[in-house]
Amino acid sequence: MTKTKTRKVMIVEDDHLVSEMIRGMLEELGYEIAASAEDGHEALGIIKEVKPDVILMDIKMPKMSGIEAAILIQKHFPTPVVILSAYETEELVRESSEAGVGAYVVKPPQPAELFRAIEIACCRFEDMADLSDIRRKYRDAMKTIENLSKLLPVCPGCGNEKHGEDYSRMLNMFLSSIPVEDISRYLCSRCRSRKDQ
Amino acid sequence: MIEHFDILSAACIELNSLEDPSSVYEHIVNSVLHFEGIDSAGIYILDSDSGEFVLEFEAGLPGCSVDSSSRFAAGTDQYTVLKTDRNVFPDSLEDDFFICEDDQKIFLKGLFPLIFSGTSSSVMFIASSDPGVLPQEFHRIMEILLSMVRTSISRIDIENSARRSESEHSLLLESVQDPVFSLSANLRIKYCNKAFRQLVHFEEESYGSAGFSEIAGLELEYLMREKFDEILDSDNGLCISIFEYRNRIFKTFISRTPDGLFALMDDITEEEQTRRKLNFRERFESLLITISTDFIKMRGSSLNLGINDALLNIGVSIEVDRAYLFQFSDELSVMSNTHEWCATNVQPEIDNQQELITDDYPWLLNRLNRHWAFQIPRIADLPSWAESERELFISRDIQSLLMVPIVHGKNLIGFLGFDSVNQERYWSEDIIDLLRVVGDAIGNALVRNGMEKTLIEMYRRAEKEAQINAVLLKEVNHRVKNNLSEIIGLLYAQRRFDSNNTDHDEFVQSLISRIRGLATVHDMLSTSGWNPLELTMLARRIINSAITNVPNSSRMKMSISKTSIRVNPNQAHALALILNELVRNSLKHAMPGRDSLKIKVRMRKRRAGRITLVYSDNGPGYPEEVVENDRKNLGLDLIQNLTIKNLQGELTLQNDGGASAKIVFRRNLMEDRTDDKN
Repeated sequence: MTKTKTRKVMIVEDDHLVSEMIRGMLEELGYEIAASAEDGHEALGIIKEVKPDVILMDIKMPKMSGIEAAILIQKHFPTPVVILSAYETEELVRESSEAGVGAYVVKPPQPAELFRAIEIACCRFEDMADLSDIRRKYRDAMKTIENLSKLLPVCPGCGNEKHGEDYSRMLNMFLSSIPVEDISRYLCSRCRSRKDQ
Repeated sequence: MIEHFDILSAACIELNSLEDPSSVYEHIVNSVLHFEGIDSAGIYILDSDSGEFVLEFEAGLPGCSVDSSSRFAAGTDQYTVLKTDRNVFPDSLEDDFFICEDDQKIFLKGLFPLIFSGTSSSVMFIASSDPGVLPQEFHRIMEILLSMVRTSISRIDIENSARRSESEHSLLLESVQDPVFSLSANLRIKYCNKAFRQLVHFEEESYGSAGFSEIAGLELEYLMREKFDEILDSDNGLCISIFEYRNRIFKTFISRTPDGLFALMDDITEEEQTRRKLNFRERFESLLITISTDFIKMRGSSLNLGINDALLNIGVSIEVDRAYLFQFSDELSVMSNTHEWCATNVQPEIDNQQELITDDYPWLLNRLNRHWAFQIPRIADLPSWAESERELFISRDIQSLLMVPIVHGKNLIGFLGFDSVNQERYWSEDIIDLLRVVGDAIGNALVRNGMEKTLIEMYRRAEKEAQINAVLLKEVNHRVKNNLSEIIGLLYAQRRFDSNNTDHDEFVQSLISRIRGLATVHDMLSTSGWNPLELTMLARRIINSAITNVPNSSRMKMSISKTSIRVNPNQAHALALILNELVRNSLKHAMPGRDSLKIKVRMRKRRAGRITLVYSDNGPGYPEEVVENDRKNLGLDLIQNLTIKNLQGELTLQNDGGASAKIVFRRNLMEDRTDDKN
């Protein structure tokens, strides 16, 4: 097995011997056991401090089930979650998927199966994070285009030049909102060449 | 002449009051003698037997009698003359036509046929002792007179004929079997025949012209009055009505006559009863076919409604007071009234007729067992050995009853009963045969319904078992996978803890012992269907399993408290592994160098569902570091982690006359296998 980096794994499992199994397999696979919790409630309590790269979680546990915990984790501490359960009903798979779980593995797993699940869950999670970032940038860009279109000096309807207090105010507001790192993008050729010199 | 007309007039007036031909003949013979010149007159009548003209009426002035010429046979000259068909006034006749007794000659002056036909003939003659010719006017007077005579005779004939006809008519009507009567327009009896008088119980011979109601009575008048008025007030010439009177059914024809009404009461009782019987049978057969057909389609509660409906319809049709269905138990030991219909004002008995012991009614059962349909027209006629049946029937106010067995195949499953409460009854064999068909249809429906119920119950049971099995199968899969996970976990843990141990045999033995503990609790849980387990039994099985194959196991004594505590499958599983480790610990550390080993397990329920389990042995106890929480071997690590993680409990290790481990946890019985979907 090869992986790009050593991932920190948190185990959430109420059965001690099953927890031993997961621990043994993860160690064999070269993962770091960041922490163990006995149920979802305890996991939520320590996740902020542990900051695991991925969470391996049972479903049926006292106090808080794995699916409830997965929903709360995605909301408050977005982290890849892999479900590890002895059950494999369609309903549970659907609920897990809706909770934002990255992979679903049936106990007892083959180590390679566990590895694939963890890695795919992590990659998909990273992809999702990238996608979220792109989506955010796209929204910002669209907003900028909208603002710039309002600052066009000529009205495409009547062909007259725009002037007056409103136009000046909008122009000033836009200029003041340009981040320093982006300012060069808006300079005229003369200012740009002066800046380059 | 005037005198002649007076005689003519007097004779004619007299003629109108005469009522028989003889009087007419006699009168006319005497009358013509009043005419001047007429001395003798008489009438010859042809005797059909002898063929002779016989002188029947004769009158003459003294000395002018023609008695000697009283009879003329065919062939004589006189016979030929008498057989005339027209009035004759001879100018000259043989002098000797009539000879009086004193030899005086009488001259025939005229012959007048009164009746002339092929077989009957009468001829009047007038004669005179004067040979002279009668004047011409006299001829005309005689023609008028004789014309009047003929008219009178015709009148009398007609009157006699009418009288005779009326008499014959009355005679005819009198002999008619059906009641007949005629009424005047004001509804007074003109005539009524014997049959009518008998019908209305009028025994007197003469009824004069009494009013209809006086003769017929008010009841018949009530039945017919409307029809009388209707026909009198309308243009209809005939009116027909059918009504029942004095237990007979009459079809009455009333016709209008010129002066009133005529009525004939045709007694159609027999044909009406036959028609009604045929109608009833047709309707009853149709009803039974409908009922029998409906039963084929009926299921469940609709069958009960159908049976109740059938009892109602049959009960009304055959005019009984109660119709009901009894069903027997499988062994015919008990019978119960399951369905009942009662006529208005008849007491229902269904509530009093439940779970009756059939041995109490041997006569009834004997007959039904032979599949006999039977009736009891009089309850009093029941034989002496049917005393209990008699009491039963009398208690139900029954006067007559009809019973029809309900049979399916060869099995008697019940019977239909029909009670007559208000009167004694007799039912025809036809009806009984038809009711047997209904009994068969109900029998088939009841048996089929019973079989369907059984099938449905079996199907539901099988379905439920299949559902339970499906759940159990899922549970088995889950448990097996969990156990396999635990075994893998156990292996990883044992490798981690014993990485420095080179004793391969001990490694394997430890594993075998721990996996056997897992197998024991799995066996117990699968046997119980993953239901809560009795902790006492669990402890005994686990300890026994752990010491099996251990040398000197007979030196070990076990004491387990008998407190009844049930724990859920997950907790039972964890406790089994913990106890297995505790026993292994005792065997490893307390047993060596001792003659015997005592193991005690004490359990106690505490408040708020908390359970305390104390395991102890009489060995040397735990090393101090172990008591102080420095637990670096797998057994103690397992005991501690299983208690904390799996049981959410607390563990205390101490030395108290040996090693003692106290586990406190909260029992959670609600967390059973059905909730264990995750």
